[in-house]
Amino acid sequence: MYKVIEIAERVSAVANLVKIDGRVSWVPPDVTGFEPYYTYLVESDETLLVIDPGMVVHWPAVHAAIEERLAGRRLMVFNTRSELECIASLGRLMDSFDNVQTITSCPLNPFDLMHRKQPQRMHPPSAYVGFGESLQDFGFAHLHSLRPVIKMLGTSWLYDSRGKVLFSTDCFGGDFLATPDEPLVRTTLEGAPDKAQLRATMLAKFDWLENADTELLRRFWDGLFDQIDVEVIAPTHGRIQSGKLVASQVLNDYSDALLGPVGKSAERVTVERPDPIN
Amino acid sequence: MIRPHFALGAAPYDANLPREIAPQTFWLSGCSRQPVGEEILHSHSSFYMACGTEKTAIIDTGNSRDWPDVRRQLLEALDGRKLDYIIPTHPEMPHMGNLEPLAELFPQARIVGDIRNYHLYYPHLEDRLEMRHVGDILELGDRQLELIEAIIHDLPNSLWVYDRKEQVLFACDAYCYTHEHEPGQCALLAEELPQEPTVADTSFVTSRALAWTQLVDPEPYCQALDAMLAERPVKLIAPTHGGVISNTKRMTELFKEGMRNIRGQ
Ligand SMILES: [Fe+2]
Ligand SMILES: [Fe+2]
Ligand SMILES: [Fe+2]
Repeated sequence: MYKVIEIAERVSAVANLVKIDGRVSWVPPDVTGFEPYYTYLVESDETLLVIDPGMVVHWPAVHAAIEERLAGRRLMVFNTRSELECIASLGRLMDSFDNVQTITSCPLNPFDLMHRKQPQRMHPPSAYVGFGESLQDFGFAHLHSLRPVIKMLGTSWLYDSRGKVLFSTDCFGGDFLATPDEPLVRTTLEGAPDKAQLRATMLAKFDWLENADTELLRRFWDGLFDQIDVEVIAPTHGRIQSGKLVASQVLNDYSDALLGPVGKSAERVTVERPDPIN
Repeated sequence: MIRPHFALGAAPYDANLPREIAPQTFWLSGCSRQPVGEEILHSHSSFYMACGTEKTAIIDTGNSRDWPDVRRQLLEALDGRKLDYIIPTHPEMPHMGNLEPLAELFPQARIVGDIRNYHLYYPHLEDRLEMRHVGDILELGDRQLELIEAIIHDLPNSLWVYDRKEQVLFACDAYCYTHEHEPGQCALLAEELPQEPTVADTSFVTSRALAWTQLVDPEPYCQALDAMLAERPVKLIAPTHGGVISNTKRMTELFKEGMRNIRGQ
């Protein structure tokens, strides 16, 4: 059973749970419990924007949630990555609705990444939004595409400056549910995963981090997080982190876990941000 | 102002593909053309077929956008045989983007490899999936395919494949290079191209397709590659995003040099 939960003003998550059983590559092997997966919906008066339609296993739920909420508005889809976790259902979505505007910051055009069975459904060409640019042409001036600090394939993060939500896609998803009835959103640090688990989860996807130049990564990290205020961390999978204190502590914990703690003598390097969000 | 995204679209029909690169070993491919500045850069999304006396297998599936010609090439290479195994090296569209239509076209084919996550991507294919690990062997009759560690990869659930009989290394995202050439030259071996691929050609693709190479010391990866090659004689290297390589020693040096050059860029 899926749930739709509000995580910020006019931002909701269609959440589905998967029991952890060792068959998923981005979950470390010793983790047990349940992993939530999300498709995010951002709404305006004219448009319903779907962030990552997700995997086919969740398509019936995502489809139902879109049908329920669309209410005659324009449907748009932004994919944060060209990976199957984000786009396996895209062909099904395009086969189910007309006039869907696809938008991405990834180098690959979404139309090059799907099989469609209903070619009679007409859609406009995909639109490209560069890093640092907003989605204002689509009615979402508060949504900004960001160059991710850590990535594997073509990836962008999204930042909602209105709700201070960071859509972090395959990063920061290292918080799992022990039982299916636990909350999908963390609002307190009590019981938060330790740094070892955060690191293990990131390395399960980004195994190159083990050999990475952390000094360079820290520059990228500080270059971004010095410029945005994050109050909600909204990954593709793993528990959502909500609240100013929770989000900032969790980001610090990830930073320590991946880049090592900043020592007293360590110099904070300010780099010119190549893609300012404003 | 809304900016339309550049779409590559389906690769055109190529009369030179499929190409038999070793006995009963076929190269199938879609070659995309992308304008980069003044140039048109070609980039392969190749996959391969190995046919044994008992069973047939493909390594990777071709890119979803290229399905019409991929389908034609597959049927031609199979020459009336059925397809038994689909081995996606990793779950990324250029490597497994045709899994759904392939499963439909060949209802008896099994999907084998490191198939973690695939039951979530495509739950209707779950009973077709067979998990395999590094070191496992797939028997095709008179030839064996060994699943080996993908030393240079993007997604962690990647595998390379080594054909023990014909000594072909199917190296998915390694040994990639762009090529600039006349129409009709997409199915040429690296050594047959009018100009041999350069260190810069391999650096260009590797640094973009595998962005992590910009942030790591390449030496452990180069050493692991050498160690793997020391244990296995390789006559042909069959990458996804470059032409087939017969001058394997020289191209290995070139590829490693390309890896080393990335951080200096
Ligand atoms: Fe790949
Ligand atoms: Fe690839
Ligand atoms: Fe070509």
